[in-house]
Amino acid sequence: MDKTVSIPDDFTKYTGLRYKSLTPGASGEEFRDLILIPTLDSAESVTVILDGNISEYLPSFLEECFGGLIRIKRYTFDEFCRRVRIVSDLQPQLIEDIQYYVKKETDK
Amino acid sequence: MRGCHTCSVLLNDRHIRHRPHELIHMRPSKSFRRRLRQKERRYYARLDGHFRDRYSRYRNPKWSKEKNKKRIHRLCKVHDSALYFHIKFPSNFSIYSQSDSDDALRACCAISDSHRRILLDLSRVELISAAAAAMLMSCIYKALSKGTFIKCNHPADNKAVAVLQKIGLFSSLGKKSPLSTSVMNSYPDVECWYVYSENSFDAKTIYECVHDFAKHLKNRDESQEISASGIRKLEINVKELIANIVEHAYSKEYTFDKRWLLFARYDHEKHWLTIIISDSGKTIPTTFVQYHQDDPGFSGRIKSALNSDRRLIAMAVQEAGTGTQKGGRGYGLRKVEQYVQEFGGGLFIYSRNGFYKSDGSTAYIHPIKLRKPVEGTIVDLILPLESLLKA
Repeated sequence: MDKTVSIPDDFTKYTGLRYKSLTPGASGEEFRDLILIPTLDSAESVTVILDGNISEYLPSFLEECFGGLIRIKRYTFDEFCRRVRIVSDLQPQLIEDIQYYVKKETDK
Repeated sequence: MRGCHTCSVLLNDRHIRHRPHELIHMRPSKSFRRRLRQKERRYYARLDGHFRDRYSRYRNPKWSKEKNKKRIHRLCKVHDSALYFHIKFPSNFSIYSQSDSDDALRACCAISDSHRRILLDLSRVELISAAAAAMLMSCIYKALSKGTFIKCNHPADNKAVAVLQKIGLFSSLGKKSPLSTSVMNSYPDVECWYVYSENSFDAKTIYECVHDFAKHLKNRDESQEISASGIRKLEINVKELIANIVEHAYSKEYTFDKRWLLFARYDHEKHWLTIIISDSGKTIPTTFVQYHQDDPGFSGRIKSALNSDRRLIAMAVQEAGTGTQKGGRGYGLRKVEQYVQEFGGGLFIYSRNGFYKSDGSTAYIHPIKLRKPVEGTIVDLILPLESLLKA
């Protein structure tokens, strides 16, 4: 079963920084722990939609969401690609960035 | 606390020659410091009034009003020199050339190092660069949060006064703005300075801030309308630099005022957009060493670069995704550098004793050696406006 999560609709349109302590309610850590991981636990795969945000995504936010997911779940790169699908028609370079962060973590 | 309690007793007893804060060994609470600052301000205002009243007795009835005024002014200056530590500012307050940066850094270091009453002697200042202004304000905010009492005079040049008023120097020291709005508007290059200061990270505020500046430029000249993608790229750069400050420069253990400053201005002659973001927190070399000293991939190189802040900043900018135990770091500054190179602009970083200049940037700022440490970090982004405009 595939589930869809939209960062702007289900989390916030103004994304913040890496940790909850720095930007409560808008951090990458909160998105990962409160939305992404519970959704992954209840579904076979998750589609994460990035488009629709007002404020730009920061590398630290995306790294903590997806690089942090690898640090917690210990997925391989192939497993990540199979279970998490990232969609961004407006900013396709963000998908490459995320794959780069994930690759860095899986190669460790 | 002990010292401050002593201070307040002295203040109540009207001891004119006491030196507040000299006995402080422990850091008092924020509210206590605020109350003490208010008390000090009232005390010195009263003291100033007292001296002016006393000197008015020396008024000579035979002299003209102007001559008497000058005499009293001279006497008051003598009183100021006895009570305040004078810091003289150079006529060209800038950090873009070696000699200017030496003078500017000397003045700013004196503010940071001093724990007593300071008089900023700005009377000679004629030119102020945006980066130097950012550095000055960072030093002032830090000194005020340490409880230093700061007083300043005005530059003789009205344009310099306008710049200082625009950057919020007088308001931060509790002084009235010396120039009216109409006089301020008579300097179009000062009027287009955009100054914003905050002590936390709020993505919405930063978004609005960048859009405000773009609107400000458009209102001045329709032809200067920045495209939507230009605004997005500006926003991500500004957001990234402020994120670095909040996350690294002002970490939990930093106890002073966690204020960052954003200056944006448009240079009509060169058609450059200058964005300066500064803080007074931990510097890039300090945080880079702190994060990576135990990292096997870096420890050797860090050891060899410990004496060179420039090399440490270069490593922090260029080594993207430097993995640590806590996760990948170092993507942000690298990204900013990439954007700036894409625009054909320049990225200049001043942090501690290091000056870093992006390799792809146009060489209009000559490399300088910082002989005194910068208070915190100053990041100077210079972007040609054409690259951001609507096609």
